[in-house]
Amino acid sequence: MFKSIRTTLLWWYVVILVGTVGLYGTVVYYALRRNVLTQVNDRIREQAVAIALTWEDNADEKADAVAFELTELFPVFAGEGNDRPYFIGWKKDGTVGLVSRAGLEVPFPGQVCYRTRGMWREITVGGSDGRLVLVGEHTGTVRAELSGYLQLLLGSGAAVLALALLGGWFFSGRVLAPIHRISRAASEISGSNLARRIDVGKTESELGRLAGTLNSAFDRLQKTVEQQSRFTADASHELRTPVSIVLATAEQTLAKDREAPEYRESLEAVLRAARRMKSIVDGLLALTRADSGSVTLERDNVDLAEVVEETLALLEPLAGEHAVTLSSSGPRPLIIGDRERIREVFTNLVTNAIRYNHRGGTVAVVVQENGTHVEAKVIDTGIGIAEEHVPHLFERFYRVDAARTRAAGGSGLGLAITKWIVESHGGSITVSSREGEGSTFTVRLPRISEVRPPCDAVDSSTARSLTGTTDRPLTRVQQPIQHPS
Amino acid sequence: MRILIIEDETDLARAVRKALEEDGFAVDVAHDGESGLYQAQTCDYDAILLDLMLPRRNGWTVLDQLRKTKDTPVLILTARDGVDDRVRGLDDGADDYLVKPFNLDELRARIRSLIRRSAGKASSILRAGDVEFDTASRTVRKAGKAVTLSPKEYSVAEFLMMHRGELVTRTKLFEHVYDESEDTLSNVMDVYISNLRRKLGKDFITTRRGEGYLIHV
Repeated sequence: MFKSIRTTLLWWYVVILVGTVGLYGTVVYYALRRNVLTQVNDRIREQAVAIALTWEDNADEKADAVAFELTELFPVFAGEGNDRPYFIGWKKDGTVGLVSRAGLEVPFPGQVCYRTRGMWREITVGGSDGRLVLVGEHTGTVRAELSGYLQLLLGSGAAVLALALLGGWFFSGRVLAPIHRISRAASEISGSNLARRIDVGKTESELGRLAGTLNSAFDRLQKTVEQQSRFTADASHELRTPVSIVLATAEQTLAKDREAPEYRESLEAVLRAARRMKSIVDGLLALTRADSGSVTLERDNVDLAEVVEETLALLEPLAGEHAVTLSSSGPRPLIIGDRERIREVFTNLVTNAIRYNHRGGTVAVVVQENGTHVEAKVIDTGIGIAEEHVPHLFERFYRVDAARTRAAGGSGLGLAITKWIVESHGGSITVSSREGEGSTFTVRLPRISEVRPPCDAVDSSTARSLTGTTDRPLTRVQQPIQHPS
Repeated sequence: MRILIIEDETDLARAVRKALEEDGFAVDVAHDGESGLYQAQTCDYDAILLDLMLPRRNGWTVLDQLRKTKDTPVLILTARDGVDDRVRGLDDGADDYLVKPFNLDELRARIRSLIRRSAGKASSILRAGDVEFDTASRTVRKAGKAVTLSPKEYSVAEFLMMHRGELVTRTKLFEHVYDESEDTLSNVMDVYISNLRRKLGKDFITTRRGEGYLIHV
């Protein structure tokens, strides 16, 4: 605790306070002292000059008479006591010519001067024809007075210091208390209970803002941790079923010797489960990479319509299996992006549209230009999605129907990956659906330019059937694209 | 012993069914909650394996509906491993709970134990006179000597042993020894019974003409 802010604060406070009070006291004391001593000097000087003049004026009279007259004139020299002032006059030859009282032993100063002799303050002034007059005053009272002042100053200084320190300790404690509260709460939060928060109500001013900032940081942290742990739980949950298929099938099959067709059947089941695990793991890996931001997207000029057509051609066999007809229509806008990833977007969307369709249904991909954006709508005539599921559709591992996706062979991550790809291209994806009538997924991507072949006006209005061969000539115009720098 | 598997993962249901059939169980499978509940209500199963995430009707509601009419032992078999889920499952009337992925041997042991307990037998060894059934290893000894029974003979004998002292009708016996896919002639039961009498002693099974069969306590 010796390094705590409170002690440091107090330490500096002490240094500054001692300096200030000490300097103030010293200045006050010395000013007072000078003032008092000047008064003494002035007084004895006045007296000495007056005595010298009087002595001069009465030079002819006897010294005793002059002295007596002077003590009459200045009663301070009269009276009893060894500490009363005195005066002495020396003649030119250095002999004492004038003295306020008998028995004084004062060394001859020899010149005009001030001097301090023991407890005595003396002044010597010169008169005419080489005479010197000295007046001495006992400084005992003055010194006692000064030392009294000094004690008072020291005492009150110490008292002020003590009071200020006490106050300082108290106030620094009060100021630092919220910090203690914040740090205690913060350490409890980071320790175990992420749901706890710092009580901002009790914390005023700048510290209140600090607490608020910390709270919102904890909010984000909690959200991330919850997301992460839910993600991990979901992932392990998703993997449980295929793992149990592999285990149960293998254990059952290996229990005894079997015929070849039985082994084949079991291996096929194991293979299906393994493929499912692979698709889950691939999806997880893709999303983990996306989360960590370690994915670099290519920046090619991509002909959106071309990507759509290629995707539809690839999915034709799957569509055939489900007796679903695929088609695409629209202009041929260019976008900047990663061709493979955009292909993945449409592969995911169209695969879903085929799988959740009725036999004899259709899937249409319609490309439209919409100001600064290009829209691609994947419209199916399938089973649709109930309203309550729509907001969660792009969440990882979200299942509209536990069994439906599983039967269709999805990993539960396809739409989450799709959303990530679209958003990392600066686009957005939305869905509208009516249960039993079908769904429409709309992908919006920023447009950079467009290529218009001469015949496009006619061409884009005709739906291009993709069953069998592509009957539409793929008119591709190679022309330099102006990249927005 | 007849078991119903309500599980929408066809590959998993297939593996479990095969394993249980090889243990001599008669096994039916339902791939969604609706048909699973219907089968469970219409037929007397000795145990039901129930998944929770099912299409058309989830496992919770299947269990809930079933418990209104039947006490069939239910083992929940699911990927949901939260303590909350287990507690809820057991509180809602399930008799056991096993989380995927599971060990097949453990699943078998749990099913045997469920059936035993629902028949009021704690031990896996059943005795009637000098005949001893080990339901875990599916072996039978008479007077200390091992007796070889065919799987169906064993199933018939085991069911009668489990319901010792009870008159078991022919229909009931059929229901618990054959699954829905097996088509059999009714006199096949007479063949099993006479074989069992031959192997385990004449008085082992009592026949009540027109009523059914009985193993005396």
